[in-house]
Amino acid sequence: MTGISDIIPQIIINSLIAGSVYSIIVLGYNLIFTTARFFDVGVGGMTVVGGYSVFFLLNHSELGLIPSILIALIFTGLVGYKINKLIYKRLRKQKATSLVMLIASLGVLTVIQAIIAMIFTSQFQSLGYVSTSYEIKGAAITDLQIWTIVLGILLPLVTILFLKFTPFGKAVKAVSDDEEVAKIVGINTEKIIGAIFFLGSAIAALCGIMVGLDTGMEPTIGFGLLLYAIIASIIGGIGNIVGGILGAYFLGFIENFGILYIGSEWKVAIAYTLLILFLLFRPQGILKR
Amino acid sequence: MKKVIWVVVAVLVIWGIVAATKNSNKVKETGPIKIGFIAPLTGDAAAYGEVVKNGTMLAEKEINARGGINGRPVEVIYDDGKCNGKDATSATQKLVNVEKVKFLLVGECSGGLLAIASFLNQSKVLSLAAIATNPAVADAGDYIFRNAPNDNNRGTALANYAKQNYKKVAIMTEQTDYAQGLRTAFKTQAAANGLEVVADEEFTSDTKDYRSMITKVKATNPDVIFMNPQTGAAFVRLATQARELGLKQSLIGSEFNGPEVAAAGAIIEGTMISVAPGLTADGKGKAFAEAYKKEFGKEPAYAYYAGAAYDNLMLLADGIAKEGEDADEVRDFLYNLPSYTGTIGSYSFDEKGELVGINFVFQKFEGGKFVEVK
Repeated sequence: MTGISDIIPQIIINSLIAGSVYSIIVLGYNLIFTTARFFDVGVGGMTVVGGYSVFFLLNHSELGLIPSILIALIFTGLVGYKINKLIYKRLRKQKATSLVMLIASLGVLTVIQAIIAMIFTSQFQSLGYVSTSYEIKGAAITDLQIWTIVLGILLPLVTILFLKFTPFGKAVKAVSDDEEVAKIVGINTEKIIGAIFFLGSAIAALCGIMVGLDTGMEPTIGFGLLLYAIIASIIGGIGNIVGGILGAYFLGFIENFGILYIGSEWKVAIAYTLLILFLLFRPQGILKR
Repeated sequence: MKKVIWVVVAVLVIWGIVAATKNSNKVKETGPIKIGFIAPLTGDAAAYGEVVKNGTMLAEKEINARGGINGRPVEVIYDDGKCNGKDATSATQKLVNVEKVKFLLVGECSGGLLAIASFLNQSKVLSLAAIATNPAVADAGDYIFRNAPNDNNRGTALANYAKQNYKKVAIMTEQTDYAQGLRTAFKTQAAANGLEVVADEEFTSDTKDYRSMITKVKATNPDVIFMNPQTGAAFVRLATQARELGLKQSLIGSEFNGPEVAAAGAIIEGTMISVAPGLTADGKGKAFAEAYKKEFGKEPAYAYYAGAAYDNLMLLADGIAKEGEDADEVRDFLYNLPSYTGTIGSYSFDEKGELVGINFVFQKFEGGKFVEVK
């Protein structure tokens, strides 16, 4: 008779998978937040742009999975870059507050979701990926999920190293510390921010693609993923990239173990309760900025 | 000058009111008969919402082709309920308050219908539902009729089937009215016939990652798993993730035999579901299936509900032709109807507006498609 202790390895795997999904999107979200200084809700829209681009390429071209993913990443990065140029840059020039930018990004998310629903219908679509299952210590995991975990850990690592040791990365840090001073020192802050939007959007797209391959695409999944990104970033410490990653995995574990000990229908409620607890008792998050 | 302006305004207002009331009286007698329609046209539930809409459109076309109702054309106003109470309510309010329909064709999910039921009864809008199966709809009110069977029967049938073939069942239910109603009916019968329910998990509609819930279910070692979501898409997701996590048990479920589910293939082999019977093999059912294929280029998925929607509009048209555009009179006409032969078979309504004469059947997924089981 399988008891609770036998399924702990599976719950751990489930937590790692969920944490990795959140980790990827919170990375994109935090990158944008640290430089552009507002809650870019449009990041949720980038996840579905990425996922549906892959869906489109797989169904309407001869390209294989990996080339489709690479093209989708670049395409979504460009979309994010363009949106920054058309909308956020102008608002920044007008010295708009971060609240105004948040609302604008909400508009971006809504429009993107609506356009995708118009083109692809709002019904659930499968990307047709057939996974192979493996077993580790009695727990099942698929090749796709292994990739998600690898990306969830490696991608932030690579990004952090990149930001720390390259001139570009140092410029990003300068902009995130103080945009005005960075300008004075001669850094082209608009160019840096534009590049970050490209990068952040592409990373968000990757999150959407992994989720799409695993469970399928719907225009509305972007909003759900975004909410997790916001919760993870607040729990981890706003503006702190490493904190965001820790927050993501922390959230993944609490959610899945919560299902085990409390009940499946409380899954989303647990995430929000965690957020409220952190806001009440440790608003600076796990890691300070 | 001010006095003159006030006089002009007063004249305009009075003239406007007179003109408006005069116009609406005229339109009432000779203009098109407006009938409202609500169903999920977007989202996962659109898999069946669209089909119900198509069935209705076919009926609308046929009625108008033969001259309408007593010479007046029928105009169905289609709106999207999105399978939730909030959107169904705003769509219905628009139909009743703005478009002023007196009759409503409902293809909306049980949850949506239950949310708008009291408003419809208060507004005395006669409503015919083609697809809501939740038991609570029976008591939804005097003006609500349905030609979809009641889930109490389905829950009982599923629990009996499970008891005959298995000892322990695990249930996974979505938190919507339809799924919860079915779960309650199933559990009631399970308690009565001694079937052991080893797991009774629930999930919210916006969840797509069921893995930990499935893991919990796996730990209880069921013989069979009763998957109880709101849509076919969710059913496929549940089955896919369950197989990935190593659950090899057979599945039982309800309703979802559309192409989006059949496409899942091998992972749902052997699944037993309790569904509405479908169109009659000859007579009106056959004619409808052919007309549907001609008009929309493919056979109707969830054919019973497409046919039920078609029957609802046809029956409504008969009622209006006989009793006039009066919701109360047509309502009584429906109550007193001895029998109606439609695309789904012969049936009538009982004193609660419930369907009499047609019940659910079992289908099994074998070799890539759903086949009926006696």
